[in-house]
Amino acid sequence: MSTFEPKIVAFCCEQSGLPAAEMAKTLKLKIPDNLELVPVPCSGRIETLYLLKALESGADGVVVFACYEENCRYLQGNVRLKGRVGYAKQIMAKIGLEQERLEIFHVATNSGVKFSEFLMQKADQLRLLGPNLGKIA
Amino acid sequence: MYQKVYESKATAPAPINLKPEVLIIGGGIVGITVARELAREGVQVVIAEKGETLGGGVRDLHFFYDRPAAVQKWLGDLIEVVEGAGNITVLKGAKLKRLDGQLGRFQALIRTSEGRERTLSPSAVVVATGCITRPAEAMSDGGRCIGSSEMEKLLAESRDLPVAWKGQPVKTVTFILDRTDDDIKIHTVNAIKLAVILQEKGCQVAVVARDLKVSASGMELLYRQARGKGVLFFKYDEPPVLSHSGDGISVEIPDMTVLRKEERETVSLLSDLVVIGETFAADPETQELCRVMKLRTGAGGALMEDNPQFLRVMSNRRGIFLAGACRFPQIIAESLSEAHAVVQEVKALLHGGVYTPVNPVAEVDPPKCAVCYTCVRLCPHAAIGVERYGDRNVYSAPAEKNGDTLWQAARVDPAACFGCGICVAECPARAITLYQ
Amino acid sequence: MTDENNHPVLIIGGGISGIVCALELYRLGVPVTLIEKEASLGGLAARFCCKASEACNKCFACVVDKKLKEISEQSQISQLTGAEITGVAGDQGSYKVSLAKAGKVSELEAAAIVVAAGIDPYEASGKGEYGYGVIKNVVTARDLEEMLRFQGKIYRPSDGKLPQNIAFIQCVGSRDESIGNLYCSQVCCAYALRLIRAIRHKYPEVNATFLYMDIQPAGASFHDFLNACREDKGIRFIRSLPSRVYHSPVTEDLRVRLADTERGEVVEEPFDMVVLSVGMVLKKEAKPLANLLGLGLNEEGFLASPAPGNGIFVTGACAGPKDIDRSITHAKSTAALVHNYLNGR
Repeated sequence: MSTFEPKIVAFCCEQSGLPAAEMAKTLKLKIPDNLELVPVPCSGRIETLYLLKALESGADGVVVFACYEENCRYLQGNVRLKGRVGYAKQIMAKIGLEQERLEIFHVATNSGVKFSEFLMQKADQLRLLGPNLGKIA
Repeated sequence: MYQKVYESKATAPAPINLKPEVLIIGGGIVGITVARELAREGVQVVIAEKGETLGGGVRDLHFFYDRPAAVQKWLGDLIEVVEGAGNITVLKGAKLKRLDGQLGRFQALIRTSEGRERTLSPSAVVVATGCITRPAEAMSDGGRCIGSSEMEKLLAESRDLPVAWKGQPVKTVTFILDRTDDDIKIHTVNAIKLAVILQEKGCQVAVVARDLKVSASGMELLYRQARGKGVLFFKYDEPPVLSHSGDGISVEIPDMTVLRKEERETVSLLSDLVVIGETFAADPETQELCRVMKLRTGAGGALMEDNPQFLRVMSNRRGIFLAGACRFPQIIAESLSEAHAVVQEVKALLHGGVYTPVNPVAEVDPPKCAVCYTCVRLCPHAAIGVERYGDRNVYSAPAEKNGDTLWQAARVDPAACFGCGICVAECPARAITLYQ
Repeated sequence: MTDENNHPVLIIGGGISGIVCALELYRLGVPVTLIEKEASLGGLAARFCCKASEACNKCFACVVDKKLKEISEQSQISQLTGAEITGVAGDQGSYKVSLAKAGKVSELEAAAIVVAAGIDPYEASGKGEYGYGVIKNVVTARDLEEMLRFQGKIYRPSDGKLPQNIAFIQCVGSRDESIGNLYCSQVCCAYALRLIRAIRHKYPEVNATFLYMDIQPAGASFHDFLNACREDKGIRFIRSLPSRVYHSPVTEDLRVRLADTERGEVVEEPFDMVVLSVGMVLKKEAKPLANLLGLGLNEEGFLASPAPGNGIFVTGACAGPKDIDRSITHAKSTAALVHNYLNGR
């Protein structure tokens, strides 16, 4: 399993996750190699289906970088997201996928360090978990 | 691999014309300051004040803490300017009954106390309704316990004479702070300000507080001045006990300046008058206003939650701004700073006379809309409404059967849309797209 | 108005106040030149960290980063970094400002000047009893912010280990007659408590002791925030400012001498780390600038508001202590005033 490099899809809110990713880049922090960033205007834009589709079509883990509660530019986006991620997790439980493969992580514009730390941890966690068996690819 | 988050579209939403007309709800100090500044810019301003006089909460004040001027004279001058200005209309006894439409097409229905109705079409609405104060209940019978504003009035009326309350001379006064409102510094500011004046008039004053909130410009110096003049300050962890004693009230409080617990004595402050600051609370009418204007309410029914992204003066709807105590009670200087920030926001909005949507904007594909109202409910910016639509919908039944077959569909107003995409993600019929 | 050297408004200071003021004037169609003496914009506020715990704690640090991004994308606002004002000539409405940039001297014309010089954190070594600069494990809250922002963790400077027990000493450089700072810096209580909450969220095993005089409120949600802090078992509130910090040269552990009102005695408590909540003082460079512009200082030592009508404005924390939130509001209100002035009103 040592060669397994998990693929992580990170949905990034343009208000927080994306600037944090940029900060991580400018600070030259380590981020996992097999990472795909998907910018979204607000975490509230992400549909349940996107999360599951990502897992279905090749991701070993999906992370959503959203704003902290009470700090959403659009007031409610991160609250709506929470509900949808909960729903997606229910579905994942039913089909036997590990809950760790989907997670919300709250960041602010200036949390570049947290961003990279969290992704590195996630990659380690997924490496232990092994490849996602739910993917159709 | 995934659906695209945005679709691109060649035709940009049309710019929206904005007339220089602004409606200000609330004729307190914030409202009239905004009105005066905007009127100077040549904007037509209407102030809708629910009471019969302008001035709001500042009418209860008589002294500034940081300058010698008389508050009422200053306020009077301001009101005179506002009432005399040609392009400011003041509606008294006025209430906002309806607010329809979106930025550029606002329709406000205002009913005055005589029952007259007026329809306005402002380009921007400023909410400055302030808050209400409730007398603090310190003792059951309330005798010799007065509010801070009554003390201001007593002092203003006594001029150079010694202070008297109901014909009896007042020699000792105790201010009790922080029984309620431990996050508002107005009480500390008022208490220290009045304590200095009282002490100068020959009274012995004590201030009893949990925390002395001196986080305002010049307050630490005033605090030191008060101590220099002999005002006593006590800090407590447990609120003081009040009881009747002879003609006065005895305020009992442990002396926390003594470190050793066994040596700590209870100090009894025999007071002719006890002053307790009024409790600030959100105006219930503000909540009604929020419902009418589709604004969000925060803690305790105040306007808007405390969200840093809204920079204090913006609301969840484009073209509606808020300032002053309707969001959070502050000292005059800070409220006025907010008022000027609102002036800036309104000026920037009206600059050039048009608003051009710059964000991505959501758009409903009417034939796909099932009129389930999910998006209408969920839009945090109240940008979505349901409108009549000519073509046939896929799912819904026609709204009216006789005569023309008129169908309904949701419509996102591009002027009010912030482009977050919450509706796009929630739409069960997948009828909404976010266009860049 | 396309001439590079003819900008009606000159904003001195590229911190959060200057940036917001420039952006707001730009929205009103007023050409602006922003002058910053450092190599990049942002000033003090751009080095703060996010202090969220479970939810946002309203520190406004993220707003600074957003505004920075906004202005970096705004090519029409002329931004001169690494530039310093060397002279001001002219009066009311037509100022000639000479500035030095990378050794070259140039001259700008301005109809109005906005001073947003900002503040310095109080130099904590001025309070010798706390041993800042001498004792390794005594840091300022600002050091801690930078630790969290750029390294994402807290550690004892002496050995790099996680401190288990931290003391936060309030009013360092504020409300202190002995150093002549007779004012409240207004922000320290809130930022220290937010830092404590953020640290306790990241490291629940860390205990914090908050040593204070009076807790100063900050904003609409402070009441709930303070209640959450008081309910947190890991935060101890003691109304007492310590008299001295001692350290052991071997372990670099600290002992803080303070009057514990709960126990009713003077104690020396051991701590792993001491954080000083430093207050604000007017920026060092603002004083010569004030001289050039003929601005006075107020009794608290900040820039006094200039007489209206001569086209000089003071905004942000250099006019008196302000948090990010109120600096932004103040800068916006100043922009409205500048616009009024330019239109002759």
